[in-house]
Amino acid sequence: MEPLTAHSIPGEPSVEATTPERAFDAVFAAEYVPLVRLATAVCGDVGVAEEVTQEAFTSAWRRWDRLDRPGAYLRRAVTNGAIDATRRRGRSDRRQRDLRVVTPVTADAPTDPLWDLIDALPDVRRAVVVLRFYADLTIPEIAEIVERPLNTVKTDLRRALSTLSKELSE
Amino acid sequence: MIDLDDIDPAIESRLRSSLLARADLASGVTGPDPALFRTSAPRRVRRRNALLVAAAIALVIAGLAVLLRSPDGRRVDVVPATTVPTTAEDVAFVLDRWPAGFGAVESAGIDDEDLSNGVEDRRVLGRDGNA
Repeated sequence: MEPLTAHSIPGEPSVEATTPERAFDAVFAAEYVPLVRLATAVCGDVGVAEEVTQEAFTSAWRRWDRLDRPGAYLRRAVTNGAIDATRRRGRSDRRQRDLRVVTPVTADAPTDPLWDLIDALPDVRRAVVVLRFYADLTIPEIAEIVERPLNTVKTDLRRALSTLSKELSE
Repeated sequence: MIDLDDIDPAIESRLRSSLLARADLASGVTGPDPALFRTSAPRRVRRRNALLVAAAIALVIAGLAVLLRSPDGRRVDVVPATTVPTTAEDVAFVLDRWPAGFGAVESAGIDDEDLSNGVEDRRVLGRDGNA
């Protein structure tokens, strides 16, 4: 079985760049793909994940000179962007269901039955699960990203695991 | 309720592999040119640009102020186009001009001789009052 180790989620890259442009480019080169993967794990859509990540980098550049920890800022922006995108998609899906519009499914796209369960979790709870079990972040780190108290994050995680365990054991 | 320190290893492993496969959906993604996302200048650069623009405006205003001064240091008034100066004297309201009634003629009380002397004085004295 493939070893499930921590994945390359951006920490604080050591950037020894002489100009802000070079520093930005270095962070971009190191973190773009890991952040798209993180956003994909949260929202399940690569296109949306790329969009969210690119918005995060654009936003980071606007405040680049004030960012002490660009990695932390990007991680938070991408996670929250993916949560928001999922909420918007949820509203759009509900409208499509009301209009009886059928979304075509790509035949060769890989799927996993567990993804439906993950997608059925409330948005923030899903993000907490991804940050814990994909990104291997600690509870305090997750609390900082989703901007929630520690105990709320613990409760979110427990409830998500309880739901997933129940479904998986059936 | 599940204890976070004692999660069923089978469930944790299943969850981790599922999330990894989900993230792998983005395996074909490559980073575009980062310059595309440096679309607006950072705050420091914007502040510097704003200062440069302010300095340029101040310089233009100072230049105009210098240009609008005559060589002897007096300020030259800039007269708006709507108030073109004329040589005609101000015309007072009709009741002021004819306090004794409209059309009545009053003597100005100034002798022709006094008037001539005044004109002579002006001719003799220069602009600064010296002869």
